Amino acid sequence: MNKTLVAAIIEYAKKLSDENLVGENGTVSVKEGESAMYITRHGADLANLTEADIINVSFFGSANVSEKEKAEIAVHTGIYKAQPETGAIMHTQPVNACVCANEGVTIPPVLDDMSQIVGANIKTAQDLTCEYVLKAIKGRNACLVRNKGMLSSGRTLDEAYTACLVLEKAAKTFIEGTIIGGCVSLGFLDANLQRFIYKKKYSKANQAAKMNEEHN
Amino acid sequence: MANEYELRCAVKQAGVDMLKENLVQGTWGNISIRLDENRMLVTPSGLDYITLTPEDMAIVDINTLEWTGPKKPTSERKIHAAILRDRPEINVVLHSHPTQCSIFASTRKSLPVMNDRMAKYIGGEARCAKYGLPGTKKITANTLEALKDRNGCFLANHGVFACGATVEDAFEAIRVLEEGCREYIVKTVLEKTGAKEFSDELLYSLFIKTIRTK
Repeated sequence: MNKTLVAAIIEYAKKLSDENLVGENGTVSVKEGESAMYITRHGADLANLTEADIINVSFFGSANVSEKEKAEIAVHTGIYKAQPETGAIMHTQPVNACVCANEGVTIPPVLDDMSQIVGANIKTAQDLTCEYVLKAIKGRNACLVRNKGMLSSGRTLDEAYTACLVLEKAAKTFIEGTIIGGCVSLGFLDANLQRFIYKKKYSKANQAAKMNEEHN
Repeated sequence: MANEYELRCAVKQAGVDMLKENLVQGTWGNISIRLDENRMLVTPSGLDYITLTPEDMAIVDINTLEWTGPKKPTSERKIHAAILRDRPEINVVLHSHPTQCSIFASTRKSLPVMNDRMAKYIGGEARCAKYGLPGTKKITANTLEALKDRNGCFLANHGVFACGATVEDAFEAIRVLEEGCREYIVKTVLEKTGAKEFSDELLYSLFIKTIRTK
């Protein structure tokens, strides 16, 4: 067992719980090597995780997982395969993101930090399956999942956590902005430009140090 | 007049206070204080306000933007410098993306004067600066334009700038904006639903109704 990765999952799961970002089905995973991951068990209490709540599963399939875990693992595996730079994934249920997800909306670029850190706009996957999720999360660090909250990804747990926070803020902004007369979103070009510049410039330096912390 | 070290400590303290009041998250946002006629102290880029030390603050020339210090100052120093150049009565500038102000910034609307405190600390309605890419001359010019005769403005799809002669005044300015935006949103929900009491459920059901009828 990679104690460092497991400890990092326990730390970030607690953070998600402390910040009320997860319901009963919150899940956190971290990639290990090129074809395996550590992932929290279905229904585990993220506030009080122990090593026994975290399992190591291969991308090629594992024994001793429940049907519900199989579906979750398949989606995490799909994202790791489709986004080779992704090192961590969180499945969370923040309140405002859930309201948007349940309505199946696409969140337009209402705030520039969302465009930079998460994606130019944020789509809703119709269900928690690889087919829907991979389409919705393509080129992005998160997507909403109808009736199931959101998935966020990053090179590190810290990036996946930040993407979750930033998307929840964008969801709240979209909801309340709509109520007070409507958001005026960034144009398609500006939103994509912001994302491009951010990915190129800012994220490198900040994350290099954190990656070292988490993986050494 | 405070000495340089005291001003450095004041920048640090303002950061900690913004965090405490939930006016800033993580390493985001930035703070500047006028050091003398030509220079300001400003927070460095990408450091959290708890571990930040008074010595970490950079000194930036507000005319040339040349800087000295152990860490690179925030990339938003151009806007801070422009405000201090343009407004000799201002000594403290705060920039952040607090939740309620961000909601307003996404609608690009002006916040009307909500109460006497807002009239006093902002000086009128709070306008929204037109959109511009971060770090560009355009966003600096747009911010100065929106801040004209005011001590606070929103930045389209981004956040808020608030300023004042003192740290206390700048803080009051950002506080009245954050509180004013919240008040405006609550008022709108009550007006549109005819309800007497506000709740999150009421807000969410109004949102769902609004997007379903679009």
